[in-house]
Amino acid sequence: MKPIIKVENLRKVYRLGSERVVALDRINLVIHEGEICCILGTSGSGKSTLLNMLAGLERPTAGSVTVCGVRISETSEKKMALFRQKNLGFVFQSYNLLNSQTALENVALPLVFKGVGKRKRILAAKRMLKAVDLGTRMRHLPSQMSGGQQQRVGIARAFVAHPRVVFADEPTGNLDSKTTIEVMELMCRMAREHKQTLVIVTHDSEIAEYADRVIHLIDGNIVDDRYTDKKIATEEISEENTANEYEIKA
Amino acid sequence: MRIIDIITMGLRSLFRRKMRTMLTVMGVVVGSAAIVVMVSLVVGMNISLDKTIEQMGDLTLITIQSEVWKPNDEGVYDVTTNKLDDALVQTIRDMEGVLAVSPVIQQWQYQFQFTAGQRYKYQWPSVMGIDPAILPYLNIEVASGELPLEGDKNFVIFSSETPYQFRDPNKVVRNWQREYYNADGTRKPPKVDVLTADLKMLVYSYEWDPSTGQQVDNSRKFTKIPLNTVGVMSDTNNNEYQWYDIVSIEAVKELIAEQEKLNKVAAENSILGTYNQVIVKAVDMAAADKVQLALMDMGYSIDSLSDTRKAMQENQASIQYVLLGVGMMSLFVAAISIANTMIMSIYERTREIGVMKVLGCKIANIKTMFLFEAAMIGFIGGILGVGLSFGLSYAFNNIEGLSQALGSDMIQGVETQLSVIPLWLVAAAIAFSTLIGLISGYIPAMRATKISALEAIKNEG
Repeated sequence: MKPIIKVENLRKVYRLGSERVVALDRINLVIHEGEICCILGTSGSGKSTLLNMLAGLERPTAGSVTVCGVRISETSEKKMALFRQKNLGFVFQSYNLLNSQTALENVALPLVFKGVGKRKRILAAKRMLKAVDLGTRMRHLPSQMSGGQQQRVGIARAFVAHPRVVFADEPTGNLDSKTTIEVMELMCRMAREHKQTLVIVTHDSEIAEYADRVIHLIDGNIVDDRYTDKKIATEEISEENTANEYEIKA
Repeated sequence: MRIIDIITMGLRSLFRRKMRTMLTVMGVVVGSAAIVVMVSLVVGMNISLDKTIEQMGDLTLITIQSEVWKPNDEGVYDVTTNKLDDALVQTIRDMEGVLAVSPVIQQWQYQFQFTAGQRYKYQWPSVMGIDPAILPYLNIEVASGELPLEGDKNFVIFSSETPYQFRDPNKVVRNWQREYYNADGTRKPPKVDVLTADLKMLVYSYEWDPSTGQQVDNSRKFTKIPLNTVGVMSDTNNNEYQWYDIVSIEAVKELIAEQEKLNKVAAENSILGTYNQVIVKAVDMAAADKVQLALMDMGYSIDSLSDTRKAMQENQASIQYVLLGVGMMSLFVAAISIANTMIMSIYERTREIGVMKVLGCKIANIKTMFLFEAAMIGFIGGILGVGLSFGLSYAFNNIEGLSQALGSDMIQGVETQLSVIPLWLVAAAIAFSTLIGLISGYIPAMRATKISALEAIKNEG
């Protein structure tokens, strides 16, 4: 198992007026290729901040983040665009589909940015939409679809360019429990099919059940980091890895 | 990102907000139409100015005077003398773009006379000696008779008034009115038919009999040059030579040489070899300007029509600046409105831009997309604006009350169009509106690139 995300001594401090708020204290973390990893925490625990750092949307106060061998905490925004095109996919809580574009066009969007020709990207997008069971709704606008359908379009969009890592930020936060199950199963299935790494941020401990690994965050510190039974049953984890690289605080 | 995708996305977001796009485009339409109409008025003005000047004389004709009166720096008129001789004529003849050159003699020191047969004389003509080679370019029309060919020495072109001036000097006229006019006030025909009469020209110096105080007619002593080719100018012929009787410069020189010999004029006092004017005909206005500049470089002072034209244009320039200023102002307002629209659009699309960034859209692509949208507003506005200006221009030129109110009849006898839109103006207007769109879209586009990708993560509500 190759490590794909490596976080070292990550620290993020926000200034709110004269007050300093420590969002992330000192995080050390390694996520391996193909892992489905859930970052669990209540609001204010720093889980969103951690996701932003992992995805290179925010710069850390101290420490470093390395994704796919690139130290993204020190990469310029210009180069990040290319890096995201190649390596990252994103699933949002509020779907963030472009309202003026059809499901098909929304899914094809990352390929547009990548400069893929029209015929090729439409083909890829159609295949993705069929995979998320929306083959009959390709020409629908986001406003003509239910929340669950919109999120499935979002998932198709996140996976269409075959990224190595997909980040999901509260992907089921706006969905009812039945749809939540559908969406979570779909997302995990797609990640496993292509051995893609999936990092899910959530406050919902039920979501954590879909993951191989659950990282519990409280007040900017990792308080618990363990592999679920599912994971242990299917994968081998080297002992030294956990001992050396995960600093678990009580 | 491919260019075609940038264009498609840009056009889509313009069409998504049809109403706002249309209003912004309207602003550009008004602005660019204002500029085009104002410029078209200026162009129309210049064309009618040129026509007026053409009527005043040919712009490809340069006349170099031996004496030029021009205001100096203090506005006081000063005379400059130009030495006009055969050497200069030859120099000009060798210049590029010169069709014909003629020296001109208008002599006041010697008195010319025309005779018709033994009896009739015209004693006070204003004679101008020229080279007939320049004649075709002087815009002289003859009502009767013919124009001389090149090399003709024995020709005369009378002014329309001259035939009436032949009189019998020995006849005592008691009633001048009855002699020359009919009872109903109309003029009697000339005493002499100049086309068939035996015409001759001679010249004499002033000689006075001190005992009587009368001028002595010593014309018998002198050579008379026969005039075989005769033309009479039409009385509607509007040109600067209409008051002259035009003859061959060779004939004039010959007669003056004889006079100077008779009067024993020393060689250094001879007036032969210098001229009063040199007339130059150039192939076109540019060549005329070149010849004029060359002559000015040689130290000659020239009062040309092209200078007059420049002065008139300068007078008009102030009006033109005001007109252009009005046009620029409305386009400036349009530019602000484009910038405003783009900024609004960026505020609205903050989240969308954030999402695009997270999905890997390059900053440069985002910038290009917004610049394209702004340029498109300018471009469409420019095209519609030009269309509108053609309509307005047509109205100015063809609706009588309107064109009169705007003063298209200010130049008499010249058919003018108040507003003229040349092709270059169409191209320039569209290009300029597009550029205005680009410029006013630049700051909003830069703003769009600075929107953080984090905007996409923020959750609504």
